[in-house]
Amino acid sequence: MTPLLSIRALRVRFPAPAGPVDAVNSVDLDVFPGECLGVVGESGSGKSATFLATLDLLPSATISTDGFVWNGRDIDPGALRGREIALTLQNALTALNPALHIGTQIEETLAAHDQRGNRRDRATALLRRVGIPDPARRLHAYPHELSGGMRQRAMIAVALACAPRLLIADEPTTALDVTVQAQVLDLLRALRAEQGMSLVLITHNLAVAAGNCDRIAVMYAGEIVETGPAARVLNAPRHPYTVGLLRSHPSLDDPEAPLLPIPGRIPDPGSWPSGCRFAPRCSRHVAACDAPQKLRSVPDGAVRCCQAAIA
Amino acid sequence: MTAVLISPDVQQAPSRSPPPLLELTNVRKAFPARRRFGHRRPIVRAVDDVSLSVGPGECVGLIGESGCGKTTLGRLALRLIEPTSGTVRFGGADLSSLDPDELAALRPRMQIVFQDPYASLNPRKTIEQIVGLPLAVHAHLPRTQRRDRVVEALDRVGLGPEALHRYPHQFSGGQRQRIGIARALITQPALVVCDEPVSALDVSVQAQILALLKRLRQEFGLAYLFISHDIAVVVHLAERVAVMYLGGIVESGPTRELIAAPRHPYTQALLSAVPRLHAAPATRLAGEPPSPLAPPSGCAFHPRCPVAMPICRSVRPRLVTDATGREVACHLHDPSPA
Repeated sequence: MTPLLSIRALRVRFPAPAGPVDAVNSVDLDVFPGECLGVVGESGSGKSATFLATLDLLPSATISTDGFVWNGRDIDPGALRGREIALTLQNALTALNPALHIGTQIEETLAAHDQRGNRRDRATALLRRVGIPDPARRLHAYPHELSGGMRQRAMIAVALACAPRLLIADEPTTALDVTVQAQVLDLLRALRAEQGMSLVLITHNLAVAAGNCDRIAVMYAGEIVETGPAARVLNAPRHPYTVGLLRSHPSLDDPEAPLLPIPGRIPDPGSWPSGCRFAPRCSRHVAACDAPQKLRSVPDGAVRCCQAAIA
Repeated sequence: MTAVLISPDVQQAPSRSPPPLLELTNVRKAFPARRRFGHRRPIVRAVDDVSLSVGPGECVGLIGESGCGKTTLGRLALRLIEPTSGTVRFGGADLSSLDPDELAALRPRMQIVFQDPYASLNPRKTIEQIVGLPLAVHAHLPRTQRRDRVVEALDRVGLGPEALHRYPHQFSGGQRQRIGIARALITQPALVVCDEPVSALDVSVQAQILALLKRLRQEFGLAYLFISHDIAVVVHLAERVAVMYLGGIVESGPTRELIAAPRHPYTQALLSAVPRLHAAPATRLAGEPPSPLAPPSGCAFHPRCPVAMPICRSVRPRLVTDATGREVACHLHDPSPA
């Protein structure tokens, strides 16, 4: 199958007082039509920067890449932003304009992309579709008048305005309570099924990815360390970091299982080890780990670890 | 006559030994909300008739969603705010009847770790000043003696003495939370209220802090009131769990039993909404928590409850305790409905 979006050798550098710092390094990712790809990582792993750079939303960063392929054609994904590729951000309160009605913000998106037809009707339909009660009246609500869950839904409505083929949802449920989180994830799942849309779900929570994604890519220190089908990554992780992340995850399925934290902490961008970036924290560290690691293809995905074949 | 019918086990149940370290009885806290022109000033019942106890060395988890009153309850437990009614006892002493000197003498025994490791440390003070401040306030120790104790407290949470002269911004979120824990421990407390201590942290850092809290508890026999919105986190530490909804406790009991067989429909919904690594998501709760400014009549949960009955709309359910110490406030589980 041809990927809908391919990112090739993406590198993102940010200017810093002590010279430019790499936030993302040699990231290769494919998003296939209709799939949900989970991008999992902790703060500073580069998961958001990867997609913000792809959408050309990081004006201060230096971005280099071997190219983006959209649906088989070389193209700058920034040009598709809003119409073919939409983005929702973690904090809906800051992502939405506080001075404009929700309805105006949806209509604005429709107008910006020359969508024909009655924009007001379309905005009402979108609000109804994302599960906002009394949509005709809520068109005139300001973001601060909505609850956190409703704001997230409103932002999803803005993103869906032009019926994108790919939705990038950056931590869509992180600020939400668990019952509301479940509702928003249900909504995203339903929308994906209904519109045949692809979804990139950026999250720090492995369990959120587990219940929603077809494939998972795990990021650590600006690199992808493992990709594969969600069930395989969760049940038979190959990279020691993925293993550590799973053991750190407090689970309701097995409350008696002890949490086994990964020792140490993620190095700051700019002070990444020259070899394997996880090596200083890894229990399976050997001499070969001091050499830079390549993302190697394996039958069900890819892994960036010289020890993985032994596992 | 009745005494004969009661078995020795049941007789012992109400007078649990040892006596609780912290005991909240029928505690209420109402805050005035913003007045709207031409209206009476509305009242928010943030905590509404809550009774809860924490034994010495025990960890009690308090779970609930935003706005349910769990943080307010934690602050009431430490008398950081005054209850509107009800009593809070610490080590047998009624906190509201103590004079300032007596209260000040108790303060070192009860400490708190806050949620936000960025906002809870003064950015203009060094770590030595931050962690040593409780000693200056409570123990009136001179600075030179304080330093040894600060170094010791930092060591317990896994930080070296090089931290002493640094400022909070030089530390990561996880390290800052360690500093907050060191500050709480330095007065050798018996009770620590942990208010969402790992919510702001990444998963791998969260696991480190939870392991630390667990170890410190074993080492020093600490009791925790562990407040969290994340049930999965709570079950790893707490022996008992209380679930709050809109200001009231709807269910409590031993953690393992409560997780395995939740009785209150809200607890059931809350548990099924938690994303799992190896299980498909189950039933969904519709709607969002109502505003505490306008709580529903009867059972506060009835508008969202999948099994609501007519009585739930009119009568607030009592918190009923069974023989195993489990409590639930639900008409479905009340043998003698009002």
